[in-house]
Amino acid sequence: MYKLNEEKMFFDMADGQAVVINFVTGMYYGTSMLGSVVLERLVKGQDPEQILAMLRVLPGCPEDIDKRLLSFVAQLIDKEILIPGETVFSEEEAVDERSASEGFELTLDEFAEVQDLILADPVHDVDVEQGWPIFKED
Amino acid sequence: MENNSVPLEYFFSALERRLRRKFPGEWPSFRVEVYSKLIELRFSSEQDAEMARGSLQRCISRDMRKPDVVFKYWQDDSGKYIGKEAVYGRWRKQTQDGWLSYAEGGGFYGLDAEKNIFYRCRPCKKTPDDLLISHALCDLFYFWSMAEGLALIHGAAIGVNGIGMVISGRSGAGKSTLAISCLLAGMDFVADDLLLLSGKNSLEAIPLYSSVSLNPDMNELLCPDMPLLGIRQKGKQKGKLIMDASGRHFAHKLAICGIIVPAFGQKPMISPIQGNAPLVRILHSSMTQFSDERNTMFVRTIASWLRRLPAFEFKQCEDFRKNAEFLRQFIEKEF
Repeated sequence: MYKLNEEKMFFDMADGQAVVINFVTGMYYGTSMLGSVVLERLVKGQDPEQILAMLRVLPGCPEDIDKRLLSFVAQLIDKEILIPGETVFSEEEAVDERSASEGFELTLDEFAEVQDLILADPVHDVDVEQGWPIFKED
Repeated sequence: MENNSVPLEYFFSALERRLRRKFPGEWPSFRVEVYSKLIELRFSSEQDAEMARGSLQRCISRDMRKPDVVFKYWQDDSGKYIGKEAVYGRWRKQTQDGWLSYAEGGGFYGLDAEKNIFYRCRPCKKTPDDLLISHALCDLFYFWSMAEGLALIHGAAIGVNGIGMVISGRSGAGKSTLAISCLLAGMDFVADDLLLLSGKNSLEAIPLYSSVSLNPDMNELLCPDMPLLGIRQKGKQKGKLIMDASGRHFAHKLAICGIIVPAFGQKPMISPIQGNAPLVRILHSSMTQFSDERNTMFVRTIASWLRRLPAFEFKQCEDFRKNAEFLRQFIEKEF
């Protein structure tokens, strides 16, 4: 169904966490714990329907896991991490229950340079005692 | 708020005034020459300067010319300089006058681009032995190297006859052990943990730190016979010995031709690795080492330099001399 977009992306599992790096833009991605398990399977070419079936048997699996999975896959495609590919991974290996120990969130986090969050005048508008960028009290 | 934005130079002049009040007198300092650039490192305490000097022995310079760049390092509550109540998490401000980067709990960094001074305010609670292996300074070298078109990465580099390999591995995979085994076997050596790369012409590894670190059990086996600089007191590295390797032969530079990922096995064996997992490892561990910033320029730079290099898994056995000799023969034969 899908495969890693190898023309733009590096992928590896680091200590159980998926790390994806877009080496063209330099953007860096991480996922939730369960998301890492799902992404690893998707990269290996497992059918999302098969992954869904594996998730559904996990204790405490929420009803809307199908929507969560759909949304997660859509994000991965939107970020060009996954592209269409053949289904090559058909192993019926169950998902370890511990993969859901942090919950059933399937999230993709995007990291880039830190943005400017504060624009303050470090000399004229700050409290002299407290430093910058604490504003002076009028 | 936007109307309050002013050049960062005002912040840096205010910072200098505060530093003079807080740490009066001349700051202990020394100079290093790296990639033909003269860097003056200034510290608020003699103890910090002494520890940092210990790990940079090989690069120390007595050149008294005006330095190309100055690093200023001190330990203090960063909230005194950057109101910690006003910022949460992490932020960065960059203008043509320089930049300022703050991470909650991690102090701040800055560059006064006009004066070419890099600043590092480190929280007091950090372990004082950090400077022994210069991890407290590596952020400054990381930022400086980016500005110079170089890159500091988390990895080791060894080689033969000027042809080198980057060694990259997860903690405990035997990266330092392999690198130091090669150093002791008389092979070309550049670094065991933090490595400067230049991709200006061909890809080259350049030495920076001359300290190396080993676990005590590996130290007993390898017997490197190097002066002890200290022992890590805290964290994952607790108990690791930090030694001064500056008396050993360092390669001036190494042309990098591949990546070695160490593992353990019954006998030395090398096999090619498909895919880019080693490169993710280098990028991921480097970014978590250096101020934890996801710097897109750094990613693009390292990726463009390293992505076409062949990668190999090297299974090391218990005989470290045999490992080094095997690797020497592999590099001679393949490159």
